[in-house]
Amino acid sequence: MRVTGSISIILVTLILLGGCESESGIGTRYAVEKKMWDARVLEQKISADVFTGDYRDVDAAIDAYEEILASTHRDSVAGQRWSPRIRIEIQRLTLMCKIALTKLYFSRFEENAAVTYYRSGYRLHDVMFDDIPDISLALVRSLYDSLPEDSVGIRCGTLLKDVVEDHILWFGDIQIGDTLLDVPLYLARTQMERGNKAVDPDFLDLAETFYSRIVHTWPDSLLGYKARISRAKLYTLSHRFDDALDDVENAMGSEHVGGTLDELKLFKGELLGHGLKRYDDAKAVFDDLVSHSKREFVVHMAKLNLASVEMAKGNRAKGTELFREIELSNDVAPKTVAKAMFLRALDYQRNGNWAEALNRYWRICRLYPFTPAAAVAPLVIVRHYDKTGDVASRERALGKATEYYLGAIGKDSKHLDNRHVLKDYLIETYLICENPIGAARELSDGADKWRAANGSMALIKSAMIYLNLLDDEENGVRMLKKCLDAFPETRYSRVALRELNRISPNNR
Amino acid sequence: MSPEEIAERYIECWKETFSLYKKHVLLVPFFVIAGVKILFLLLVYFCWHPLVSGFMAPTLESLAGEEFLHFPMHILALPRVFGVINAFVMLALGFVMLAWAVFMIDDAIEGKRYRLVNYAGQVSICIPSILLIGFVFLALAAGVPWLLEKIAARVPLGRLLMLVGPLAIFVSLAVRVLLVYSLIFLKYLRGRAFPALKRSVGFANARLPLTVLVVFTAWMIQKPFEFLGSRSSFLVESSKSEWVAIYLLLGIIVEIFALFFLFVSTTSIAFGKAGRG
Repeated sequence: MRVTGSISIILVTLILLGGCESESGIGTRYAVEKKMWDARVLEQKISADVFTGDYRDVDAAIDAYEEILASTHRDSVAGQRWSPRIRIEIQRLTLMCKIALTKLYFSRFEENAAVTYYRSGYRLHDVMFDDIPDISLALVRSLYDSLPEDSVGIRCGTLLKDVVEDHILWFGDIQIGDTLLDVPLYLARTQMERGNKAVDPDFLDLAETFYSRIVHTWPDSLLGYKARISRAKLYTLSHRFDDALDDVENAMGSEHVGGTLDELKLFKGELLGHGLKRYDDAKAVFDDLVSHSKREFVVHMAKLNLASVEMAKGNRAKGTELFREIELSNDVAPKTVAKAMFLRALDYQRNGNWAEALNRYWRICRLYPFTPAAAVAPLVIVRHYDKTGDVASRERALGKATEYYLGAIGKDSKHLDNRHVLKDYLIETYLICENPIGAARELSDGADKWRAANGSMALIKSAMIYLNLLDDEENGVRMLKKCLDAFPETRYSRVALRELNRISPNNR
Repeated sequence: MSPEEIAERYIECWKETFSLYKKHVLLVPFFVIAGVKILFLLLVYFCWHPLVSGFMAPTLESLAGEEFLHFPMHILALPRVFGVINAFVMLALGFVMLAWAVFMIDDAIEGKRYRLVNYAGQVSICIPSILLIGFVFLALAAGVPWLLEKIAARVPLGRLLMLVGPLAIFVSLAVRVLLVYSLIFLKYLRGRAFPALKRSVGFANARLPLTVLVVFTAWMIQKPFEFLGSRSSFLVESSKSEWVAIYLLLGIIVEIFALFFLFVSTTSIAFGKAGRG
């Protein structure tokens, strides 16, 4: 009893003495950190597969983050005393919640809620954290992760504008990650891939400003070097080949060039040859790479480019020989071989040997079905017949093209990311043949056999054809409802729901 | 000693444990140790709570760094920090309580009268020796494995690195086997620590298989919860962080019975039926 009594007295004394020096808010901070952790576990589960992620997890993660914001708000309204250090840490945590919520709401296609959180997070600049620019960068990064969706892309552009105009960013000592550096370029490419003939000029200005500010703010840093290369790629997209060449040549003289010099030379050669049509200069660059580069990939690509340049200069024999060399080589990547075959087929087509060209186009689809060259080949064939007015051959080619596209889309292969491109090409092939309903039906029928993300995306595309091209609301709504029923918890079921609500709120 | 004889004496150890288990007063010192450990575990686990953060936060901040007051570092480091606190509790109170228990158990086995308060004088005389034995025990059983792991982290050992873990367990168990009788002999050697330690080594050596079996059994009773508690990173990643504390708590409770079995068995081997066969 005496021992227990003594221990109790010591403990009570310690509590009373220590309580006076307690840093207020440790408990609140700990509770917030714990809740944040649990919410992040849910978020990571979703991030593991953004397309097929279960939307119940998204809802749960949103609830978890919103509960954190609500509880810290309650505490602060209740007048909880927090030490200045803890107050800043709690504010930082709530900011992280807002970033997460922005991302989650975007992935649920609820842009207004997402932007509200983004803006309220952005207003916390007043707090003046040392690393506050990171927050805006993290927001853009979060949205970048939510791609690809048109609306998200546009919104991402707006956010990028905020970053570009953020004066704190450009005068602070912060780090921009490689991923963020790719954001403008990625968005520009996405616009191009979605059938836009040119990238939106306002967006291009914004992206150029973004890279230029990095180049000017940190000219000699690794970041500046990388930004220069990204800017060159951006210039290439907008056909400003001279500006791109300047950037590449500047980058080649940088101390950070290291093992990437050969890739930069390749890039320079491509700009000279394909962009500026300075064939002799390009040939010199590619010849040098073929003879001196120790990297196989670079040598193969240089050879491929050299062949194209020879063809463009009119040296068909030399060009064909180089293409054949690539095709027959065992150690060349399938993508490069397919490209060589495609360019050779294109050459036959341009020179009037359609039979040989046709043979090669179908061979690419048979031998290398998942390469970009194979994806384009059927489209080229159908376009050719359409141009020449050979309707019977066009219909036969359409049947074969459909067989190829459906096969490639349905294959359970590792080439998942080009499935949406293949679907777009399938649609385009049908549109050339003035048969949009055929594309809508093929996608709808295919969706029954395909897995969640693949099938739900096909149904959305089918619905869009009915709604936008055929003005057939009944079938459009049927496709959207089918998507909701068959794939209820996928990313695209949300799109379907949004579209249904847009058409008629009672459709649900 | 033949294997049959070892088995017979080992069974006798269990019989003795179960017969003494009914005499609750013998368990009191073990419960005191467990109670203090649980108290410290709760203090460390709830160090962020406003009621105790006043004195726990600065103490743990200096012991384990500021990070320890943040989630999930707090949970990840909990087994390690509690391990250190556990060693302090054992040194400050645990060994004294164990000696108290062993003195009582010895009398209980020999059929003498035993009352908790009667041993206060005897134990208090032996406190310096008990602390010395405790220090030697902890230095060898916990310090040597700790040192081995530190060396392994700094010196490139190549394939030998695989042996460090098993070697650390072996050293820890070997020290337990050799020194397990020292508290019992302290009673008969007029509280002299070094002769007790020496006698324990010799005695354990003479009954090595049986002692190893008993020590290993007690170790194995505790091990599952200790192991589960040490999987803190897995539990945190699965959003089951509170289970780290629950496993540590269960480990403390199970330790009461493991220690009771260990000291009843070894006392019985030294002076009881398990020693006489």
